[in-house]
Amino acid sequence: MISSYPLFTGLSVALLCAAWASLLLPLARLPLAIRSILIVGITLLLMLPLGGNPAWYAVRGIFGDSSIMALLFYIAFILQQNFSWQFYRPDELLLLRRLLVMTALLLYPFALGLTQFDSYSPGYANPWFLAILFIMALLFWWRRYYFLAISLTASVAAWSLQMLESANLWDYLLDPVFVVLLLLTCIKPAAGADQTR
Amino acid sequence: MTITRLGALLIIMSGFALALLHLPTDLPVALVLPNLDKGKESNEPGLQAAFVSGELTHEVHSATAVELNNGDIRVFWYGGKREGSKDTAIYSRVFSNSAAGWSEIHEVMSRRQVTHDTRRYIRKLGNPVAVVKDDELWLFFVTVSVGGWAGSSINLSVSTDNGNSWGPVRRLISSPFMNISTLVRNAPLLTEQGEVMLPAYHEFIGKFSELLRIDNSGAVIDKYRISHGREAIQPALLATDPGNAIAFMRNSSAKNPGKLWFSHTDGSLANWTPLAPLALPNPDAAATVVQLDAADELLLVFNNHPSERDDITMAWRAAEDTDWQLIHQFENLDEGEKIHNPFSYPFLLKTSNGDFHLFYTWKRKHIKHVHFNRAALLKMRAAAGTDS
Repeated sequence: MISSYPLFTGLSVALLCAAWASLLLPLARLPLAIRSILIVGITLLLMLPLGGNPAWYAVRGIFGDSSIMALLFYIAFILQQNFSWQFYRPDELLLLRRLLVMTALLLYPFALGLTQFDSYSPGYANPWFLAILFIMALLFWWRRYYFLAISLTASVAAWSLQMLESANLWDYLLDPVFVVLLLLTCIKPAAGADQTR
Repeated sequence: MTITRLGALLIIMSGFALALLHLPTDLPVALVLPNLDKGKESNEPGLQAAFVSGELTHEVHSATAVELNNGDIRVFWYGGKREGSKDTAIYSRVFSNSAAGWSEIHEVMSRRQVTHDTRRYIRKLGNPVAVVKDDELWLFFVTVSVGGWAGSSINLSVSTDNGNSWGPVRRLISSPFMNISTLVRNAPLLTEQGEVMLPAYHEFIGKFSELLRIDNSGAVIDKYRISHGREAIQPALLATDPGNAIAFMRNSSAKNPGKLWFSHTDGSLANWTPLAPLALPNPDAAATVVQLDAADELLLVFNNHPSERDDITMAWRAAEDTDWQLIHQFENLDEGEKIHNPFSYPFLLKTSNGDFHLFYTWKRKHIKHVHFNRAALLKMRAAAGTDS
């Protein structure tokens, strides 16, 4: 599992923090060089020791690991927000937000014990769950939502290679911090704005 | 079709084909049944009690024990300035049958080590449980990074030398919600396939019991829900046949408090019957249970009160359709003495030689060990008038 390697895990925590900074701070108003320095600075700060361990240990201890879907979105989000690259269209972001919020509303209450049904269990190698995701990926492809189609496929492939500590497919698709960030992109429209070069 | 479009389709096909190739074959779970031999017969009733946790820490709690392959008993507990303080660590020592005594106490897991190994900030440790798996000793324990016990996650470390040294700690992922709030308390079961079935429970928002299926590498590969809502935690599990188990659970319910919960499987470890209250009381406290000469002849140690942990009592049940009989009281708080939860977290171990080792938290200051043999058990039953 790659998540046992400090570099991968440290960088994934840095991506999480940089994505939140991109969302909450008015970085887009700053000159490109300053933006770049800030993003790199956040990464370096997390690598500094805090109480004898790298600071990212504390962030990881509190928030856990990001899903693969989240990590891919964070990369796209940081580059799209701060460096005017375009990975996803505004309507693609809207669809991702709606899908993930709906999924979270179905997944978390049942996983936290609402009924005898455990919504987390199908994430353990359930062929039907995989089939639904495959159909979704094809639908995204059909509608030319390539970011969604490729991110979903990459998450499934990462699960089959057990790249995270978890053996559960849900943990590769979404995590609560990702869902909250996506919700906030709704409140802060600038975050989802299309910024082409 | 453009190259981008075709390329995207190929990536999707390849990614999902890779996942299909890695779909594991789901074999039915067959539980390893416990050894129900009576062990050596002794005519002389023997019962010894002693404090075993020493004076290393101000407070101690949550002892569990395991019989090693050589017949020795290794006990684990956690201790620190107080429950949940930053200096908590997991301690252990060994009771040697051959030397008839206890080894030195040593720290087996510290906050610093778990932080280093799991690459996560760890604030406190707790609730160790262990199982012997072939030539290895697997130790599960909980850690918290932020907040109270509801923020716990389970960790695993493996020893190949009966617990003298431990391998790197790995984190078990068992919840989609930042992996918080899964805890352990009671002993795992093993399967014929070499997997571990770990009874666990959840405490954040919901309070419920579940069973984690853990493969040879230590990864959670499935889980089964025993209860739901905010009713029952800390399941104590027993295998009744290869495909079935029973569970006794701590009552954490606000709606239906005061009685020990019971559930059993219905042909598969994935199907558990609705919670049923036993006649035995439960003050929202851990209980422990072992099988005697038959799968349904049970010995259960618990707090015999619906709201207080002022005693440690043992009950015996001859068979599934018979009533529980109280056969012995190990502790009872003196009248007038006022201590909050003085006796708690009992853990009963039946060893291959037929002896019993009971461990429990004594006024938070000590782990008390009561070692008794089968003759002593028969004497307790006779004294209680349950001898048939």
